Amino acid sequence: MAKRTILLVEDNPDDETLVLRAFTKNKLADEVVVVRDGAEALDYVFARGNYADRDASVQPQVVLLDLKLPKVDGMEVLRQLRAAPETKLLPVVLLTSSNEEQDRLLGYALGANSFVRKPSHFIEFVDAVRMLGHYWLVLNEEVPASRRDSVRSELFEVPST
Amino acid sequence: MTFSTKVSAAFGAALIILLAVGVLSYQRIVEENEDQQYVTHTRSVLERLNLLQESLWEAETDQRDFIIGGERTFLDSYQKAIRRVRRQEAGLHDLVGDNSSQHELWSQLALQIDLHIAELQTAVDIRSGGEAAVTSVTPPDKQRRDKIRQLLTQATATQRQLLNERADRAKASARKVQIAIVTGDILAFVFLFAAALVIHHEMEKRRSAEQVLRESEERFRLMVSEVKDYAILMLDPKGYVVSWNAGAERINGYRPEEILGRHFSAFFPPEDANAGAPATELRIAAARGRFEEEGWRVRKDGSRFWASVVVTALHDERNRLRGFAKVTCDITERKKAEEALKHSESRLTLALESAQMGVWEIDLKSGRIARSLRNDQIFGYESLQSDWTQNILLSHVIPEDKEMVKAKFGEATFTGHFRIECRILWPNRSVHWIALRGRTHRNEHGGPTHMMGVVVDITELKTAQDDLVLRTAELETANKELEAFCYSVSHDLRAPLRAIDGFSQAVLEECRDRLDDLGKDYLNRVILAARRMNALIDDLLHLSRVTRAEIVRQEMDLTEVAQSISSDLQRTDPKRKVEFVIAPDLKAEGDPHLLRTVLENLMGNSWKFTSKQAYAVIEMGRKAIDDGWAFFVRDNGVGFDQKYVKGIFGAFQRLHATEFPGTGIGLASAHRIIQRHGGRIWAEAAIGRGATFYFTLLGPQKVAEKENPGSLNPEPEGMEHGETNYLVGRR
Repeated sequence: MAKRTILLVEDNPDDETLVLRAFTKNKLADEVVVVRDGAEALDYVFARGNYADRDASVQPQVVLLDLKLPKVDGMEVLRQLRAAPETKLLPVVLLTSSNEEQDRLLGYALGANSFVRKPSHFIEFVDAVRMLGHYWLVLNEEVPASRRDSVRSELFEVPST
Repeated sequence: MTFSTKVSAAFGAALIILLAVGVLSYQRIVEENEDQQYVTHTRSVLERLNLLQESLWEAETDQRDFIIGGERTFLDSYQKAIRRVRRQEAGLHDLVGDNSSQHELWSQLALQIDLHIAELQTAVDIRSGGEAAVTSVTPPDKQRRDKIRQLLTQATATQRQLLNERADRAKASARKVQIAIVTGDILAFVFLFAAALVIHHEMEKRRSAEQVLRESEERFRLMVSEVKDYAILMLDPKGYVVSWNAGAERINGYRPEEILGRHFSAFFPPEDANAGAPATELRIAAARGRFEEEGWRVRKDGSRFWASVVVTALHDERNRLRGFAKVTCDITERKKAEEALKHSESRLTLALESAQMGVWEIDLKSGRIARSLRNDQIFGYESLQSDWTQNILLSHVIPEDKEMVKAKFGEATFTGHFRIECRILWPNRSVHWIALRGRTHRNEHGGPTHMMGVVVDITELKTAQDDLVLRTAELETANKELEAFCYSVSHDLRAPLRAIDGFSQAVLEECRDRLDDLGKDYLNRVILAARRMNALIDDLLHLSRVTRAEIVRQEMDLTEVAQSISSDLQRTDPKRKVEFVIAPDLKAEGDPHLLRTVLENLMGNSWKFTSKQAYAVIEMGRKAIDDGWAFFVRDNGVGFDQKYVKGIFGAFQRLHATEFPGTGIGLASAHRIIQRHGGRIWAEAAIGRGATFYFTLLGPQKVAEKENPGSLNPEPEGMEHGETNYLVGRR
């Protein structure tokens, strides 16, 4: 079984530190890969640019995607992930500071697997991260790797922005 | 020839004939009488002739005997016979003396007789002288004797012949008269028969004419009596009903036996009858021969109907008033329709005028356009212009719009209706916007015949519209900016708070040993402040959402919502003992989501401000107010001072600084939501005696069913209730 990784897309170093601390406290941070903007996130996932060396066949268990990101924002990242056959089924959890309806609507419409508001209280925050990690790294069964590439894009309706 | 001439002629002829016959008969009777006398006369002549002859022959015999015997007796006898002869002679002379035709005969006879007698006398005289003388006596002259005999015979024959002639004549005359009488009678009979025929014929004719008349009258009577649509009745000269038909029964409701003999004023409304309308009606009808009117009449059951009435005076041949014929027709429906039409016309006119709408109609055949004055005023003229054609209409349109208008008119002949907005040039060169709306009318074959429609000057509207578009665009920009701002606030302001909270927590956890209590307390305050700020951001965003959200009105049950909220509240603190008193069946119309927010805020406040009450009661209900109904949420909490009431609905306004949590956004949100529903919200409270929040969902003008449409001010008046000065503070 491949090493379980989590891709954290977060531009705010404070939030990054706090999330990593929370994973650490919950002993779930096997390998949390942190990227700091949308473009970097896409490079990592599609193994290009700075991540060209990376084995593209190995994908993170889950992408924790902040919405407000420099260069390419979270929604656009999500859209591109869902548009590409190899990442069509990659689990993506949207993290956001706000609880704006419009964000939730668009996020789910684009194919987000989950939507989590970043709690303002650290204790709750830690709890939230613990549950997230536990769910995606332990409970959730991933998409069968052998079939991942053969999934035809037309089987799924991918909304485009 | 007329009947009377014919009959007179026939009778006259018959009369004349009968008169003639009478005259003839009379004449005949007279004649007959004469004939009779004549016969008698002739007979007596014949008799005397006979007696004369006999007496003469006797005298002759006696004279001879005397001569022979000389006896005196014979002489006497002779003399008697002579006297008899003379007597006969005298009689004859009397009888026939005037008869000139026989005069000769009679003179001859008288002479011969005289001679004969004289001869006889001579002989007698001789004999009287003695016997001796006898020899000298000569016998009578035989010739004379024969002569006499012959004369007598001739006279007798003559008489007989006369008698016969006379009898023949009389017979012929009688025959003629007989024929005349018979013929006359026959003629008279013929004439009388003819007259009788004529009379009979005439009588037949008259009888059949009368029959026809009678039948026609009967038919007419039946027709009148069966007519249902008109009340046809006859009145006597004083106005009493003498005949009644089926129509009258149908229209007036009386059965014939109920109305015959009654006065026709029964058909009038009491006020008209009392004012003398029936008498006036008859007077006018009598004077002018006819009276016509439309007016209210009354049925038997008292209901009224609008009637068309015609009263006609009836006169006999001597021009005496015999009565009136009255024909009444129920035209209530027509009257109603007319009034409705009039009403609708005046409404239309009013509508057109108040909408400042011009009216036009295009005759598609001639291209001519009929217009109202307002139409031409909209085109910039002061008075109605002379004839317009479609080209003249188009010539007013500015060049840029002309093609479009032409095309739309063209389309309208097919589609049947059109709506054009275009610009026109007034005579003073100013440009105006007009809206033409109309409809195409078609003939029975579906071909378009004319278009009709209205025109309005929409220049102001257009200007306002342009302004509005501009303003809307500005508002949209501002809204977008606000949204972006809110979005930014919700994301970017939270991140530092999370950091403050998170790292403070991290310090508390990881550097616990190196911090003294004071340091820990400070850090805890930092954490609390960050949390409060987070709550403030949440509430601010909420308020902004409430302001922007679209209101979706629907029927809803506030009772259910309040019950649901009450259980939510109870769940947050199951240990608290709070009595919720929620009125049943509180129906309202509004946005369910937003109204739930209002109740959440109000009931949440009550929950909060009764937390120090041993026995808390929170009430939700409905109360009658001046202009309708208001919902209310009441509690027996700490309340607040009424003098601060004006501020409580502002954002971040709090009356209780520390003893109760809160951001001061809840009531501001509630206020905003109620305002956006067209309602108002106000509060009554007193320190320590709880608070009551009232709200309505529609403006007073709607709640009060437009009783007071002028008031558009939704400002909560309840907030001014200064006399409730016991009210005290609450946030």
